[in-house]
Amino acid sequence: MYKDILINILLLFFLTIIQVTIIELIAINQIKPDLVLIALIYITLREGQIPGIIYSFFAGVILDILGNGIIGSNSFSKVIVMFVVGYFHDPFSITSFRIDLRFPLIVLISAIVDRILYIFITLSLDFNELINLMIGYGILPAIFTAITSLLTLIFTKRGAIST
Amino acid sequence: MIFWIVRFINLYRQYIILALLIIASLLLISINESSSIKPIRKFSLVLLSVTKSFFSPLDEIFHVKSDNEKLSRENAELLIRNQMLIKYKLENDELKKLLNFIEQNPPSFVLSKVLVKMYDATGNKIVIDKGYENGINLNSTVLGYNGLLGKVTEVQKNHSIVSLINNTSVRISVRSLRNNTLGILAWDGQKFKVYNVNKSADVQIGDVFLTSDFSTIFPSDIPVVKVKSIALPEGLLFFDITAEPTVDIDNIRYVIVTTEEKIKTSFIFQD
Repeated sequence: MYKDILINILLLFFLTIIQVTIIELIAINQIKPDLVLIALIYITLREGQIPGIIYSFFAGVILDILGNGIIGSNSFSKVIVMFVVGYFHDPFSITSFRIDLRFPLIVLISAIVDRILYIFITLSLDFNELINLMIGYGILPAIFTAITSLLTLIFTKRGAIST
Repeated sequence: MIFWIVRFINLYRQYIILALLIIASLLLISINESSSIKPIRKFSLVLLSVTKSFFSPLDEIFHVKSDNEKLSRENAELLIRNQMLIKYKLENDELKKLLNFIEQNPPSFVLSKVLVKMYDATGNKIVIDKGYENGINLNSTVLGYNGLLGKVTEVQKNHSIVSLINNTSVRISVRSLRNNTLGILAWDGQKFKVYNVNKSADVQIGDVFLTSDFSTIFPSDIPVVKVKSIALPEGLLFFDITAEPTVDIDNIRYVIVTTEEKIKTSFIFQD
């Protein structure tokens, strides 16, 4: 297990280096493939949602640091994308994971969502204000909404909502 | 309670981890401009530059052709721009000198642009863009910023033809600026010569000769030539003096034409 984790970390680190060096060279008008995203999708499909989002977070941070981008932006977009990709994970195929025709389709949709989220988070943001916005208009209302949603437990029949 | 929390975390761990990672990402984004991030950025730049230098031969392979084409194009553009700038500089210098001349002399001069240059072994001429409408008369004296150029030989409404002093048929009575030694200036088809300067006269290389009071076609005291070489042929009574015009006749673009017969000019030599 630890061996797999180490291999994944090394693979992602290696691909991040390749992404910010060699891939930049073959870019046509700044259009380039995202090798890190492909590797993350592969890892998520093979190992599941939780390892996928954890790898995504750290790979995103390293990619932002090495690529001299906004630290946290790639991890934000990739964590969300890998969370969704995780639903395509088949827990019964860990030992015999194979890439089929679904894979490029998942990569395509993931890459589109990833870039949209990345652009959304990096475009015209005042970073000093972000923390206030995040707490004031993001986390606190979200917690409040979640607490409010608990009322549905009261107003619905016991057993209607199951875990 | 603890059991409930553990069960809750166990059941919804993927959502909890997701939420934590998103919050961590947003926190990282929010502290991007803080000073604590600067060392990381410095480190990443160093790491990136080291890695990129490692891959730089690949960069050359990928981009050498396009870079070469781009540089060739830029080079051609710069050459054209450079030529234009040289041309503008020369024109600007000439106009500045002419402007200085006009400012230092009475308002009896017309600044004119050279339209056509007609070079001939016997008589060089230029066509200028001013005529009798601008006050130019037949035989008006034509000057450059440093001295005499010629005289107007034909006048039309908006154009004039100027016969330059490098004309084999023109003889100008000149005197030395330094000691008033007299001579006759003529163009032999290739260079200017100052004739009839007696062997006993004091002539040196660099002496400037002006039009003298005896000149019938040009006003006096206008610089014409500067002595370039002096020879003393055996058996002759006169020096063999070769001179060069004080104005760069081959490169004139603008000239000054006198509109009055009697003029008094003050030249400032600008080499």
